[in-house]
Amino acid sequence: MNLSSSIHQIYLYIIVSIIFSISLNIFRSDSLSLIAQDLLIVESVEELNNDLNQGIIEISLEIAKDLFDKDILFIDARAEEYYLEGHIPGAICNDDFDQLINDIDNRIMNNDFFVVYCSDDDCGSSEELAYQLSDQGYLNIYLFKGGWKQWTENSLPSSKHL
Amino acid sequence: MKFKNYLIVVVRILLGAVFLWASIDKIIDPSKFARDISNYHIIPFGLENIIAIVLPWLEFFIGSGLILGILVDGAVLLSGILLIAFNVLIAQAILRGFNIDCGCGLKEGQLVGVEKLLENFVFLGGAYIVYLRSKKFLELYPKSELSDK
Repeated sequence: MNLSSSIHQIYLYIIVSIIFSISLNIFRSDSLSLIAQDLLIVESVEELNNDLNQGIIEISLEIAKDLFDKDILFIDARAEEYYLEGHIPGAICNDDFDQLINDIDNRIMNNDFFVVYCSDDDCGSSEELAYQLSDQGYLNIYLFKGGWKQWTENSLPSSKHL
Repeated sequence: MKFKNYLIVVVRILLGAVFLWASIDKIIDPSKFARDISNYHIIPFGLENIIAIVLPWLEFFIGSGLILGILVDGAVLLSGILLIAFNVLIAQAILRGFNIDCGCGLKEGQLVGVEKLLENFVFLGGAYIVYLRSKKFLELYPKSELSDK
């Protein structure tokens, strides 16, 4: 095997891919910025801005608890089997995304605020669901990344019922 | 001998199909792929976006190269390097206890885990077989014999 020739070919693949993909990204309607921007994070209730159409905002446990006390809708992004083992009281969950949309629409308008959470900061499914719901036209989504783990670690209310 | 050559071509095309298939969803929705990368919590400085833009097309060109037999040496070596890198990423996610979508593009919702590691090792074996082939067979470009075999 001629390794030198192989490495030249690798350079060619990489250069063609970079030029092609970045050029195409410029002309896409859903083009990505080259560097990812972090979500806006709100740490305390005082910082909370109730302006409409604010998109996805990451919130702390303190705010999640405050919103829970105000009866804001919580959506559990974990699989239903974990939801049934325990969840934030009043939270809804559905493995079927279309059914979940129906469940949400039966409770709130698309510009009402709601909170999405999953198991913990590392699970990723709450952020994924938040973006899916944002794509569906929901305008005010709070993302509670601490999730079920942080909620239970702080001995906050939980429920095992549907 | 001819059977062996055909077998290597089949392995090459299958490996190419895997890379091509894996690239499609990521090309269609790079935002989701960027979030999948971000969930690994290992890429610094917001670089997940540029990786999510470039990597799917790199996979696409590798897959196309392997299927069509174009610059196969580079494509198969690059596929092996990527598979090793993917397994390092997946292994660190498993060790850190992450239960995340692997973002691999082959099966929707596939989580990181030992099954995915083993799957990548199988693909890596395929890449190794193609890399060590003694004769260029059914390859479009370059057609010449490998120089030192």
